[in-house]
This record gives sequence, C-alpha cells and structure tokens, in this order.
Amino acid sequence: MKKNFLLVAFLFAPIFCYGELFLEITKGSDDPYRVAMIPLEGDTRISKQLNNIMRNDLIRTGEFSILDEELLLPIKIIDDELVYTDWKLLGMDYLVTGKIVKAKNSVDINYEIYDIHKKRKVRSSKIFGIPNQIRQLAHYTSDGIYESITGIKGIAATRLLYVNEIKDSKLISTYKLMLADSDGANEKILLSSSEPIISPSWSPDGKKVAYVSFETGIAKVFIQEISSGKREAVVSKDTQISSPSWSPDGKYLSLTLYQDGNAEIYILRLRDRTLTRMTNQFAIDTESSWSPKGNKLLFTSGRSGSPQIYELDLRKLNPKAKRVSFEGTYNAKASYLPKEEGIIFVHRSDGGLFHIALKYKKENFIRVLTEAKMDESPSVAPNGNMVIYGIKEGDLSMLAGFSLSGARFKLPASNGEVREPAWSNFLR
Amino acid sequence: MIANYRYLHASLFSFCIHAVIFLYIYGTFNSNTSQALLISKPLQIELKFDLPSQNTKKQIPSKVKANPSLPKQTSQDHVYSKTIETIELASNNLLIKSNISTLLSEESEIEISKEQQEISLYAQKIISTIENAWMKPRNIPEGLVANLRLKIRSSGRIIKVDLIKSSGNIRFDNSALQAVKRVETFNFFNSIPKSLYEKEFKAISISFNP
Repeated sequence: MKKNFLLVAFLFAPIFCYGELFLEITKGSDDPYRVAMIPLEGDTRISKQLNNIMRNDLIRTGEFSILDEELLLPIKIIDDELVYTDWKLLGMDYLVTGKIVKAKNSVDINYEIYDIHKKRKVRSSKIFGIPNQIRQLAHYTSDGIYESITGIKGIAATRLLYVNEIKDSKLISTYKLMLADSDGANEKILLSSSEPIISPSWSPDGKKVAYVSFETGIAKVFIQEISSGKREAVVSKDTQISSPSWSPDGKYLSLTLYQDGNAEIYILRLRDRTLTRMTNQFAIDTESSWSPKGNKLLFTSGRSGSPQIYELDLRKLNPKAKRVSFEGTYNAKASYLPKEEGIIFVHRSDGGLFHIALKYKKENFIRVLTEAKMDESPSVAPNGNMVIYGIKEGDLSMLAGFSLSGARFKLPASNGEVREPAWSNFLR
Repeated sequence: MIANYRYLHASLFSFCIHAVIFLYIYGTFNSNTSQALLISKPLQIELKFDLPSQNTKKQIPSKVKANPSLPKQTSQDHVYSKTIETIELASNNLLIKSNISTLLSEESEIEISKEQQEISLYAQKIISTIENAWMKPRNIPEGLVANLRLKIRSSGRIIKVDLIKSSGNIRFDNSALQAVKRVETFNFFNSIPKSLYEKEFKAISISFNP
C-alpha cells in the first residue's frame, strides 16, 4: 500500500509541489505607467513638434502618465551606463530618449527606452521617416514606445474615416467624407456631395472605403479606392442599400437591402457580385458587422419588439440568429472587440439617454462607458483598447473617444458637424 | 532470435506501463481516504494563522492563502503551520494524527503560534506593499486571476518574477508584473529571522485576484 502511494506521489509530485507561501492581492490603486520623455535631440523646431504629437498619442491611450517637461532631469551617464537613481526618485517606470537624424530629404528618429526598475535598456530602435511626413513619424515612434512597454500594438499610426457636414450661409449642407490620422489631424477629403453620406467602412487592408451615398436620390453603397479616388456602386438594383461592412478577408461585404419590403441582411461576394440573403424576418434587420475571424455577423434587429443585438453564425448552413443583448429596450450598432471577447454597442439607459456600452461574453451584465446624452455610432480601434464615437455638444455633432483604461478625449472639430467615425485596421 | 528479443522487450514494456496504470488506479481508489485527499486536494488550502494577542486558532487573516507541500511525515523536529493544516484536512489518517499528538507538546505549540504570527505579519506587509504598487486596469472582464512567483533575496530584493498563470488578458498580466517591478525591494526583509526566511520567504507565490 505504502509503496504504490509513494509511486503515485512520485508521479504527481512535480504538478503541485509549490511548497511556498501563497499571497493574494485583491485591490490596486489607479495609477498608469509613469514615463519620462526627454525631448528628442536635434533640430529644436522639429523636436518640439514631434514631442507634442508623441506625448498626446501616449496620453490618449490612458495607460501612461508623462512627466511634465519642466520636471525633467539632465541625463547622467557614467561609464556608458545611465544613472537610474535620479529617475527612480522621481517615481518613473520608464525613460525615453532619442535623437533626430536628418537624412537627405527625410527625417529619421533613433529612440531608446530604459526600464528604471530593471535598470536596463529595453529597446533601441530606429524609425525611418517618409519625406514631409513628420506626424506619421511621430505616430510610428509612439506606437513603438507603447508596444515595447505594454506588449500591445499601438494605434497612433492608424486612421479614421468620418462624415463632415458643413452648412453655408443659406443653410444648405455640403457633406464630405473625410480621412484623418487617429488624432484627427491631417484631414483629407475623399468625397464631397450635396446629398448625405453615411456609414463609412474601411476595407481590412486600409486601401478602400465603402459608404452609403444618397446622390442618386436613394441610399446606395459605393466602394472607393483611397489613392486613386476611383469609385463605383456595388449593387445596381433599384432598391435602397445601406450599412456596408467589410469582411476581415476583404472578399465580402455585408449589406442591408430593402428590396423585400423591409430591411434584411445580405452578404455580397465582391468577386462576382452575388448576393446571399442572410436574414428572413418581418422585422428590420440592419447594421451588420463581422467578427474578427469572419465567421460571425452581429446585427441589430427589431424582431423582439425593440432594437436588440443578434449574432449569426456563418459556419452553419441555415444559421439562426442568437440574441446577445438583453438589458434595456434599445441596443444597437454593435461591433466586436478584436479578440471577440466582448461587444461594444449603443445602449439606451433607463433615463432615455444613449450611451456607449461594453458587454464581455463571459459576463451577464453590461458596462456603460460614456456619460453624455446622445452618444452614437461607436467604432473600435484595431487593438481593442480605444473606441471613437459621435457625441452631441449643444446642437453640434462631434467626435470623442475613450480608452478602456480610462482616458477620454475629444477630436478637434473641423468646421461644421462631424459624425459616423470608422476606425481603420493596422496600416503597416 | 532477434524477433524474440523484440517480443520480450515489448511485453516487458507493456507490463511496466500496465503496472503503472494499475498501481495508479489502485492507489487512487483503494488507498484510504486521507491519502487520496493528499493527492487530489492540496492545491489551495487556507492557512489559519494565529493573530497576535489571540490564542483562538481559527482566526484567518484576510487574504493569506497557503499552498502546502506534502507533509514530510518523518521529520520529528519541525512541525509548522502548513503541515498542521494539511494534517487537519487529512483528519482520517490515524498514523499522522498519532504523530501530531506526540509532536505537539505544549512548548512547541507556543513556538509554532509565535512563528505563525510572524509569518502572518510579514505576509501582510508583502501584500500591502504590492497592493500599493498595483494599478488595476479598468474595464477588464471580471474573474481574471494571474499568479506570479517571486524569488527574493534575504535583503528583500526581488531577483526573479515568473508569470506562472496568465489571466489571458495582457493588460491585467502587465499590471501585475509592473506592480512587482515597482516594489523591487521589500525593505522590511532584513528584520525577518534567517531561519524563517529560508523556510517561507525565499520564494513566494502571489495571486492577483481582484
């Protein structure tokens, strides 16, 4: 008896042989990574510009607190080794230094990141700039810093689509489809029209956009190439078509068609333009969006009497929609987080206000993440840590964003009203 | 002839495998209950430390948990908290019980409770130090748990941190690692008696479980 017990014990011993003290931590403070960023060496004008952009990029993530520039200390190096103690006394976690290298007609950045606690350099990297693209260079650098500290891919170098409506003195509106950097700078006009433009959507490679334009009098979905401006309507049928969403492999477009008497979800194969009907319901089905793996669709449906979010499993032959939102009487415009661990959507609270909410798959409650009055059309950043959405300030629509880590920001409004943001995929 | 050897080897091998499987099954089902408990249970057992100034043994300091190893039944000289716990759990085992009764003379009981007090005190200090340094990320799913394993010098300096169980959420794991990194050194470690350090505080497991 004893012998076989010993044998069994011997076989299993390595599995639970933690003979050591086991402590459990249950609360924490609310304090992000503390980073000291030394202004880049080199041309002071460019350095200042770069520094500002990088700082803002990092602060917007909500995961960094950047030391004020006035509090920075001179860098001391003894025997080729950085002196860490000063920075430790300041309570810093990381130190970032770098310099600007001017090449023939571009600007490069060499930067280094030091871990103050481990007392060693954790990254030394070079970013090659493109001529006349200072902002892009700063975004790439801050993404590099973000990734090496958090292990998560940064989104500063991604881009946004949104619709800008400008009223002239006679209150006649012009609608513009705009493209901008993730911080709202560097705006470009993709399309300008006297009729409304809505629901812009990125192709996964970031080279094309799809959107709904009312230029023919009814809603039609167009695809436009960003670089050339070439555009075409995707379905030639004489019916209203709306809310395009690109599949993650870029081969399909999910759409809402109104040809059956009410709104139904269709999937369009772009190669040969064949349409497949996905829903068959007397109620409205619309606002579809793809799961990151491309095997599920989320959409909004009124089949239960109020707008709610449903999920369709595309791997099944005749998929049955599964309801995924149960709280309240209005949940709409849902999209997945990038690992499919949850969904972000618009939720109407009991007070009748519209907020952006998050529901994790494993949880049976929702988290309301915003507190304005009329929050709408959220779009999730490709790393899943930030969301951009539309708000109403006074009567004006504009864009705001938040990170799941708690930071909030507003995008500087160009003139007029801004709405319907769409966040691109990673672009590199 | 060669073929025969092959058969011989094969049958020998299969005999061994079967013997192991048989012994395992026999061991789990037929050994008396306490042994089965020892094998299947001792992953996380709450340590009941004695708090200072109280001689009731059932006081549980809030978040201190212990992972006892299999008790060494032969050691006559040292019985400490973890062993007692495991033994309490395996209360059916008469053999161990009789062992305890011989071991727990009154003097050693006093010693043990004093030691437990000390362990509890230092454990609380470690917990509060890490809690102060830990930034719990916002808007993470509920029920995430990450376990770290620390190796600590007698000076209190943390020399190694391993993530032994990831929570599956990178932001959460990072925050736990960052907390430990910020602590860097437990300043009170030089006040821990050498023997206690060797026994309990050389390597510790920490669970981040908000």
